[in-house]
Amino acid sequence: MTVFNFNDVVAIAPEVMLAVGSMLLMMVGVTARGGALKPVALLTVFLWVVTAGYICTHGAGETMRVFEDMLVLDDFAQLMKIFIAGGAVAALLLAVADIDKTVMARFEYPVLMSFAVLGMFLMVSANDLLALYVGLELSALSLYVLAAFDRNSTRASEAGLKYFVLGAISSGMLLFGASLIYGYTGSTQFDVIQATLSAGAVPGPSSVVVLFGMILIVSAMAFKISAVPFHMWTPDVYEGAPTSVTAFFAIVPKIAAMALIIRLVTGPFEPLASDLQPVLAIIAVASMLVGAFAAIVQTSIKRLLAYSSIGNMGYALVGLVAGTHLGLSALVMYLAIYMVMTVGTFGVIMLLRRDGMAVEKISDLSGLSKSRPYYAYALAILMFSMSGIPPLAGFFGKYAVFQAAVAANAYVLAVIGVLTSVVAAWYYINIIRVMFFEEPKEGEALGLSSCPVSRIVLGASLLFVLLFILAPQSLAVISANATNGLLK
Amino acid sequence: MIASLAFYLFSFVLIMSALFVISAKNPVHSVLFLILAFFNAAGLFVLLGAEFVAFILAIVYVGAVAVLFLFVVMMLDVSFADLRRESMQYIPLGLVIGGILLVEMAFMMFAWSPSMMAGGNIAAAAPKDLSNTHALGQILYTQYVLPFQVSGLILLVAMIGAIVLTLRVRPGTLRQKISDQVHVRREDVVEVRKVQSGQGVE
Repeated sequence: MTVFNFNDVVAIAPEVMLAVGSMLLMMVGVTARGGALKPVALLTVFLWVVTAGYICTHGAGETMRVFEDMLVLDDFAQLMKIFIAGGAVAALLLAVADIDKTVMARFEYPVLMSFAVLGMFLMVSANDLLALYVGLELSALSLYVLAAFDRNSTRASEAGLKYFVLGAISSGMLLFGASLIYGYTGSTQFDVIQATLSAGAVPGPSSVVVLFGMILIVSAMAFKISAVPFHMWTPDVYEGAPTSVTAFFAIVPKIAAMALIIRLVTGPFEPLASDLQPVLAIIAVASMLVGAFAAIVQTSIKRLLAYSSIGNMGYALVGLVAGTHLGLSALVMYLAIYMVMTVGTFGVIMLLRRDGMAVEKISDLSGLSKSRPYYAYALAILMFSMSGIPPLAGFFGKYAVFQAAVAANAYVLAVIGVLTSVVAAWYYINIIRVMFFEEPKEGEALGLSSCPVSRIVLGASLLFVLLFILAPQSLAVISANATNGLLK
Repeated sequence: MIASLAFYLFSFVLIMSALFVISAKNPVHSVLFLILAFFNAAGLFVLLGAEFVAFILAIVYVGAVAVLFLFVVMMLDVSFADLRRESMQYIPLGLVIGGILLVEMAFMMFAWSPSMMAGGNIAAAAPKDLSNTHALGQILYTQYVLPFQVSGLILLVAMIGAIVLTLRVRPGTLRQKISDQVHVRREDVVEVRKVQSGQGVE
């Protein structure tokens, strides 16, 4: 009989801190009188920073498996958790400016974000289908509520409901796939699944069942990173949800879901990698194509960024399709750079105000170079980086991914990637054209949010994008170290 | 013999009541058929020797979830007949997708066989000398403590979500404030007056 092991609890101290901290913050919010949002939000940021700091200082060292092998603590999980916590801090700091005076100014907002972060921590450490599922649901449920948080807005409610219904379907696919895998292997634990799948050559017809289960699970994860053809929800949810929530959606959950896909492909499904590779390749190519072409006709900034994120996930998946250590480390590097660029882009959008609200339409930006030159230049730098123009950070991410694809002889993917990047550059640069070469619209110029914190976050992201060229190797080394243990 | 008779009885009633759930005109009837379906599923679990799951199904799903459904269905002012008419247009597409899934699943059912190692991997069902409940209790808080606790957090998030999305503070509602009630002093609310006979209080 197994006995409860207290050392396991110590090993997952960051998760325990997050869980207990979030519950304490809720108590703070309930007992504080009036205007509890600001203190709770700042305390949440503090909690995340402390958690990330704890993870940084307590390096994983050797890989640990805790709670009866339900969770795995390794370098990869550590780095992903630091990314998630960092992205969440940036997203919440940006959000504070946006949610201050609306119906959304309620303390549950940061608390729900914190629970979502906890769920994502569990996702990236998952080493068992059961742990994967509960972590995924914890984060997903918090995100559904956040999408509908602006409950007086019909669009936000619609976004929340749509996200919830489609998310429930993807959970159903995940569970169906998990039950098929369990039915074949007799275990939900990743290491045992891997050993079972690699030991016996899967007998003829049964392999279809295993493949079916695997593809169902991968599809459910593709839904979470909004890869084509599971991307339908993304533009609607991004557009309908409040801008601060959209920023959070675009920055944080993608990292967790992508980390989970990496974990699955290199772990339990590794024996069947050759079967999975074409599936991932199709998803990657379709995401790159849809992300590039569907974004061209968009007029709403948030929809455009939704398609941009679809395309970016396609580029990131190229690294995974390569299937080499180089590819995985390029993927991790790409995720980090994508995250910082997205933070910056949403930072500009949320700082600029039209009638007290964050800007929504691309045409709102027309003539920005005259009315708000600094912000126009900032957004221009970010857009150039997004489209992958050297010497900005975005170029290095794309370069690493395509280099890995070429090294793995996936020339077709690399060529499609470069071509779609060119198409995508068109709509990124179109934003710059609107800002610099179109006359400002009639009426008053765009206002500015008076939140100093958001400006600091934006500035930090800009510095990263601009100065990345000085030390591109450092991030590459970090990514390579983190992904070292994944492939045997 | 009796066991297989019971199996076919439970299965038949389960499938029929599931059909009635989606075909009944009156939504309240649908919920009642859903309850019947739950009971029969519980019966199937008993046949499998999983009495704990069977009782949980009866207590939680029938006792709490289905009754909640019933309340919601009765309170909602939605014409389900209209809803159904609108959703009718999607039936052909739904049938096609459902048919494809059915064929695929049937194919898998015939192709499926567990791995040679599955027998060794699979966790033992309840030990012989222990009841279901006892065996679950032994692993739920030890081996499965992590998913158990995280499930608790999921329920907490669900509760926060329900409150965030629905609770509104309405001005003008009267609330009982216990501390105010306790802190009331006698002087504030009681006034003693001498009343002359025949004059009354002003």
